Amino acid sequence: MSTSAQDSLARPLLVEGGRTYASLTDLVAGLVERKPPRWWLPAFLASGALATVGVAMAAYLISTGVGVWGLNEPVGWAFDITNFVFWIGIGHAGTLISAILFLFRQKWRTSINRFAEAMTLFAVVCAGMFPLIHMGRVWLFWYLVPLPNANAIYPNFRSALMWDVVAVSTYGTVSLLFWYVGLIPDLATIRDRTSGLRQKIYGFFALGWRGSARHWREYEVAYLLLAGLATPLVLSVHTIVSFDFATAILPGWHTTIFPPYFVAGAVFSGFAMVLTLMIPARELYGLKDVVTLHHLENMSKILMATGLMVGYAYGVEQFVTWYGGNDFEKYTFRNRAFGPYAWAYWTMVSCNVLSPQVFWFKWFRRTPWAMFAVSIFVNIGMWFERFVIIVTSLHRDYLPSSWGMFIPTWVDVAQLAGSFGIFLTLFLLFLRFVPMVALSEVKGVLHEQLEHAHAEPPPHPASRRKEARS
Amino acid sequence: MSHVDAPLNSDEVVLPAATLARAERICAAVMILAGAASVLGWILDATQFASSWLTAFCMVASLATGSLFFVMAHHVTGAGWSVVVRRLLENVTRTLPLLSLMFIPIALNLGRLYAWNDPARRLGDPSLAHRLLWLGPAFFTLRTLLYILIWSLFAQRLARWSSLQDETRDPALSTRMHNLSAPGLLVLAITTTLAAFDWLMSLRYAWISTIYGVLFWSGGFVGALALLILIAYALRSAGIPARMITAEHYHDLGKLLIGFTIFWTYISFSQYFLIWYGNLPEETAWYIARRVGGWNLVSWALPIGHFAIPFFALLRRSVKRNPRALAAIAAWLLAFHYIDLYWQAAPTFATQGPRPHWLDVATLATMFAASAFVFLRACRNRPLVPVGDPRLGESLAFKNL
Repeated sequence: MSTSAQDSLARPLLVEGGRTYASLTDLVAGLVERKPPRWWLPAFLASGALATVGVAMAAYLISTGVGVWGLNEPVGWAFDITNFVFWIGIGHAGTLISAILFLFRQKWRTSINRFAEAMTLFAVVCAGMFPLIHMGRVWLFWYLVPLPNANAIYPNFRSALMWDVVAVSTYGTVSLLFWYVGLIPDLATIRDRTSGLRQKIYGFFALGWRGSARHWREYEVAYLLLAGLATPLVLSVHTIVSFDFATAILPGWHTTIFPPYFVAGAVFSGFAMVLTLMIPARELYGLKDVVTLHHLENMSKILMATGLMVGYAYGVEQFVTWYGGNDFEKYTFRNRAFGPYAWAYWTMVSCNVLSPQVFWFKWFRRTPWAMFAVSIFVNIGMWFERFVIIVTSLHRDYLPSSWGMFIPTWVDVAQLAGSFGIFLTLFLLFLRFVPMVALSEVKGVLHEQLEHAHAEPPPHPASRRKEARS
Repeated sequence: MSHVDAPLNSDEVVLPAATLARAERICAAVMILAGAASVLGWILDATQFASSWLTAFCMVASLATGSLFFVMAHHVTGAGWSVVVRRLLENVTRTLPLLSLMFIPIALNLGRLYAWNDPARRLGDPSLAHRLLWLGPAFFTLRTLLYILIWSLFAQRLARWSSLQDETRDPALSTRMHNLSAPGLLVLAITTTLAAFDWLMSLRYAWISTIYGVLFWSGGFVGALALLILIAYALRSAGIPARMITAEHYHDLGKLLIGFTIFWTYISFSQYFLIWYGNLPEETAWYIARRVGGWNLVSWALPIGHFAIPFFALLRRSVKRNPRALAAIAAWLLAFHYIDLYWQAAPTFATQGPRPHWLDVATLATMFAASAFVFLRACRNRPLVPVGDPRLGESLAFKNL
């Protein structure tokens, strides 16, 4: 009957190109062992220069004062917190892929989890930077740490900002551990394939891994436990970030849907960033057998699903504001859509809600450059989402006499650009020195695939029964 | 592949006609008795009847929409393991059209249930005029019927294609079900949210909470999972072979159950916490009403009974793989799902504390018996697993690591 329908139902191969264990190892470990591709050094220098701009801007602010940014009453939070939420959100894809998709037995995650987890770590670094710089007097950071001291300075545990410190540092720690535990077998692989100083360094970080059955057993248990621990973190970190706003009684901030809405948005932006980085990387490093079109299609489906969740939240907010009839709320939402920042609002809606709708069509889900374009739109849209939430609620609240506008200075813009520089620099270092695909996990998938190929061919009992009947 | 050697025969997965007929007779008897009691209650105490009926209505509606969500999510994700339970869920969704009949007593009691429909209040509260654009009795009724129609159409279409696949074994039908379910989930999310706003949130019309739709869905999905586990367990005792739904499937259902119990807690807590912290009078009023008298006890019972106890009970792997133990926890959670809905609806009417009433039992029994009757009818016509699904083999052979 319909062979094509049957083909479309068959479970796709997760490793293509007839790869074997050995050729897979050569492919991935080779990227670390050989000289980097020609574009690597120029890219590294360029992003390093941009990172330097970021550091210089931070130094300028710290030595001069927070006034070098465009912040003032009534908009006391703008680019800095927008960037903070933006980067923290980016990080969520890594944890979702490594923890939640692991628990849901999504085997395709193995090709991209290392990549996404590394991205998470660097995004958390960029995120953590902004609240620190925003303090101006960074040396007073320890006020946020519950240290017993003679001056009785103690953090305010009722403040959501304090919870942020706890949530983000927990998240950073668990993500790092998760990433590192997953890396150990692969580091050992590289240790065994190299010599000299390099062998010593990779050997040091491989923690004496010998690949014994006992090692694997402990490793699997550790991985499962870390996945279990990281899963609530996916929800909790952005929930607490949403509390920064929702616990305040500002129109447009104080609304109960914020926690799940922020989490969905975070995963959405994170997947966009994974696509932004992965599509060029698989092209440039020749990873198309490991990160197949099927992987990209799955990612674009998640991108669309989370985009629809974000769209749902926008819709519910607008509807309930109208239905609730509170004048301040109504004004805030009208001001977002038609006020002086309307351009930002409509950028957000078109990038986040409209652009991912193309993924209803298969062609877009399997065409890398189209996916790349959408991922860029989503990155832009999700930055603007935070900007819209933060700035439009602050710049016009209850009293028209205290209204104002926020206009970024060049330092604001340079600091944002600098954070991209820091992110990309760290990421390029990762690509250069760490196996970017979780070799041991992909081999597990490949093993199943090879077993399957050896077994009796027809994967569908239905087709078999049909044959039996005919 | 060894699993193909032991496929399920279609006649193995059909309930014996005698068993079905007896179960249907019991359901019919309960429905008639409890229905008569409900009508009597309506005559004796119309407000109590309306309150009990609304709670029971929200209970069955949340279970049926939760099951529809599971079916659609199954198709969209191309899941393999859950093929063996899909038919049971489809049969639960066949009860959706019944909601339109169950809604009639609510439509006839709008004035007793909803303060926004009280003419005296309309004069006294200027803010109400604006809300009545959305909450007028005619529009309210029409909307509910529209939600039920939409849900029923999706459920009916998916169930029909699934039956058709039993006959033809055509894999193209799986693709069709997949393609319908993707937009279906979107429509389901929007309609369920609006239904929750209409039926429950508008009981106190001045109170709004944007998360309320998600809250209703999360509770309903936990309830639907619990119901599915109970149905699977009941089938086992009715003679359906244990290899249809194995310990592996119970294990996965148990994992989903604990996961979504946590999710329900997360959503419920988020709503409570933000309202508590914001401390705005128009928002806190909803929770203050649930701290009066005995309601305070129920407010404490929910985090303990709907979260802490099932959470710790479900942590152990051996519990999730033991059908009897899992069914016991599922029954517990289903009961707490009702308590949760009761806690959301009833304080509007019993302002001084919970007033358990025999009508609560009678209305719930009426609706459950009627739904079970429809469910059994659906079981009569089709095998209890989608025998034509190309992924049935995968599901039967499924093993947890």
